[in-house]
Amino acid sequence: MIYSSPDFILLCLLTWVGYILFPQKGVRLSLLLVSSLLFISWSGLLHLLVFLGVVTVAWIPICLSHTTPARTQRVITWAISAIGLNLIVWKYLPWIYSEVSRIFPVLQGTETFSLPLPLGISFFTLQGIAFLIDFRRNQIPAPTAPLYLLFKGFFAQLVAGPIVRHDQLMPQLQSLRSPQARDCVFGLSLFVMGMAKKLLIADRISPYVDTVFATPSAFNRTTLCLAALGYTVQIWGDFSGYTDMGRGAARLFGFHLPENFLSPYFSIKPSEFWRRWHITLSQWIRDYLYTPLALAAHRKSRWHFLGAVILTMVLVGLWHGANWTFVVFGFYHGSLLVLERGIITNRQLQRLRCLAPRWVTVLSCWLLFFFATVMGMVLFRSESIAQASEYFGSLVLTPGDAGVANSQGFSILAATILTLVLHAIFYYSFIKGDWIFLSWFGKKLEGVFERSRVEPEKIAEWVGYGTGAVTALIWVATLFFRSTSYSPPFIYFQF
Amino acid sequence: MRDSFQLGNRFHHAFLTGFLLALPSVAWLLHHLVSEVPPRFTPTNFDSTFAAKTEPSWLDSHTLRWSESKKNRQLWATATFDETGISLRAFENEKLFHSLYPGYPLQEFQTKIVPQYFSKSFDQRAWIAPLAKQTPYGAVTYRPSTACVSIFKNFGADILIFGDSTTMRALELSMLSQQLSPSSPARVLSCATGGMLPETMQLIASDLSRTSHRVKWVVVDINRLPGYPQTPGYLQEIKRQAALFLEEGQLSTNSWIEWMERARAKSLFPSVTWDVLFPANLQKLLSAREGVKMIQQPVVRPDEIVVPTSVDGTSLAQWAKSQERRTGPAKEPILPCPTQNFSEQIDSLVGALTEFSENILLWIGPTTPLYHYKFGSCSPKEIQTVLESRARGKVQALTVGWKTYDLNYQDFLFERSTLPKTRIDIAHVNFEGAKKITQQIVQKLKSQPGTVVTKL
Repeated sequence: MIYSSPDFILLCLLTWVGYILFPQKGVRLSLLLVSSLLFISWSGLLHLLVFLGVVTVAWIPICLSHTTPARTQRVITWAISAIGLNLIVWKYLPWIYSEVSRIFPVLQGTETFSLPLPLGISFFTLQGIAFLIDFRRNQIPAPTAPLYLLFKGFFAQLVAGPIVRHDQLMPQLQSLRSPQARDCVFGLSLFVMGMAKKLLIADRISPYVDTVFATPSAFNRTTLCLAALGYTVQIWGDFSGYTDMGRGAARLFGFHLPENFLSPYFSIKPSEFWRRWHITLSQWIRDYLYTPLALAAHRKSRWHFLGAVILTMVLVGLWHGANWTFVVFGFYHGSLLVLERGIITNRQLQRLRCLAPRWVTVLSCWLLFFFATVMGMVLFRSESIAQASEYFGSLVLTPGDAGVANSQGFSILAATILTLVLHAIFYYSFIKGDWIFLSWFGKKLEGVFERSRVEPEKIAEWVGYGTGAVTALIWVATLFFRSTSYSPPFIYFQF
Repeated sequence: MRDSFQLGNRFHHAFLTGFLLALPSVAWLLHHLVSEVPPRFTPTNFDSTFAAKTEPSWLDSHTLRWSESKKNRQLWATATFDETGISLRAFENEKLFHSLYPGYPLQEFQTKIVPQYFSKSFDQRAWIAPLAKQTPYGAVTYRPSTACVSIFKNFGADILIFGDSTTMRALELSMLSQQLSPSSPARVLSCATGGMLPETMQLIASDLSRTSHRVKWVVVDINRLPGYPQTPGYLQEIKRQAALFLEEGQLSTNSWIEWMERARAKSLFPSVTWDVLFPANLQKLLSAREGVKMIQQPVVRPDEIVVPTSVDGTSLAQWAKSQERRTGPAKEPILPCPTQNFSEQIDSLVGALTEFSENILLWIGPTTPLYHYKFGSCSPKEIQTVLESRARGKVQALTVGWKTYDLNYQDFLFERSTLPKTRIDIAHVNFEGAKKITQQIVQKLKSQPGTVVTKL
């Protein structure tokens, strides 16, 4: 069940109606639990069993903390190891096996060893580990079992994040307050925008990108560049669209889930990019992996510290999937971070800024880093190192001669421009806090309304009707103009 | 204060009201607009040079614009909006008709068969030898598989074919008909359709078994059985549709189609996609709305691989080998090979077919190793074992694997109308490949007792 499917919309709607009709906390909790478990089991019993297994293992130390507090610390360590091992088995074992059997062919059997990837395992594993570490640090109280189960399995954040922490969601689950009209307005808008990003931007580009990445050596440089750019846009539309849908669905019930993307392609340096791209993952990595590693390394030497940065990013890469391409992707971004932190000093940057106006420096840095991001995405998209090498080889050394229709190329460029425009709107409206568009319109309209003596409340009402209708239009148009013949799954489902 | 849902201030209230009121009206408006807007010829979906190049002399001058073709129902060739370029009206040309339905009488066909199957609502494209011979890659076409039930009920058949798009492309029906019965062409009826699953085959077979007609051979391509990878949702949807169909009990296939069409027409947001509709035998010709959607279809399908123009015929095999090395076979299968499941499905399908067929030939429409590496989850050996274990009595099995048919990548090479031009379709053969496969099928049928050599 994916968020854009009618099944999910129906499930969400029915749960919401029940949630509104029954304000009793017990009923609401049960309703959300049943819906969440139904959501997981929709993909298969195995997914549900693996999820419940992880929840049970993570719940044991919390349970023991009441009866035998002295042993809790040790049990938490065991529980974290078990959850981590579970992830390794389902996600990495087939890959490890294939790599080992490649080195030792004698181990290779007649059949390929493979395991299905349980739904959202990478996400709920990280969430569970974070919870247990915080619990060990005595930062959080022990919740009740149903609450903990809902915290881990709430359908709006289970499959592909955001990776919600205890303090972000648990208090809301404890209060289970009624959603208000503003929650529904915001939730609906977010859900519709997310769906439009996924179905109208990401899915439209996908066929082009898939075609080129299937045989990169056949295509010319322009096509290869456009495909790399296309994938950069596609993965943003896909993942941020999915997150928006999840956050929107949660907001319909009055839950605020954390933002996961803050105009990432407007970043001018690698560290900024990771503060804006998949923010909840970056924060998790920062708090539970990077900080302990970096602190330990910093005491030894600068080089150890830079090594810790690279190691962290390699693990971030590997988290995305069991493939060498993700390892290289992590190493690549780690190297960019090292370059930023270890080599280019603030003084050198100051000198650069003296040479040219600020906007030139910012624009140059942005262009340079955007290019680096696009190239990194080639690694991310490639199915193997050989394919990535083939792609870069064709791009730099021996391009093919095939191209694709101009209209397809234009659609990639149009999608890129649209993406950057959406970034700009979000950036200036939410990050910078300058509501420049609205204030400009406001000033223009101010005089008109003053002359017509319309009440401000009336204006708000009209704007409400208008934006509601436009949101409905975008939703219906998204469903009408989606590609019915080619609808790739969410990219982050595989992670 | 009681914790309950509040409508908020006037803005929020108005937003929700505006949203709820606009939703049905916008949906109706868009539905109306999209249905009325005819598909447009754009460089993306239609290449006039391609059309001119592919059309044989007896076909030219008949490819007209959508608006003109709509006015003139006598036309039997109109442009479509995918890479095939041409849609054909089977009844308007005798030669064309006999290549689509070898052995059947055209005149009776026109009067007896439910007309709507061959109105503009249904796809009438098919593998057509006269067309294919004049182009390097053939013209890919389909029949309305839903019509096969009606045709069978009215006329019967000598050879009946079940399968998916691989089958449709792999068998040249007029060649099959003539070589099996040179004096008087055998009636070969294909019920194959894109993505047809065994469940659907079984449904059609049950429907056909209720008639008084019996066939000499049923040729069943079980390409879709060996764990064909689809999303779990896809399979669930197919199973749901099949279950619905069975629940309807006495509903005929036609009624089922009508029901589905009505349901679909009423549905604001159809949850069933083309992929799902195909196995349900609703292979409808692109209406205006779908035509518009086709424009937005991927230029290169997932089962196609672009071939660099520098790769010529001699170096194609070498190039394809390098692709094979890159793709597999070490790549993990998407699903494990469900040998047990499909063995049961074959048995149950064979059981249904035995009701009205004297002989059954089980086979697998050959694809390339690349297809197997990319999509397949069962090795040819596994499939072969299952097939051979079923080959007894009236059931025959044909060896699996493309080598049996003397195929190579050249037989899967296509030149498309849109860029990039040259591609390998890893799942479907071109006309040359189809001839080789058809020849093998003919040999197999002839080698069995009760050989089909005369009019059946």
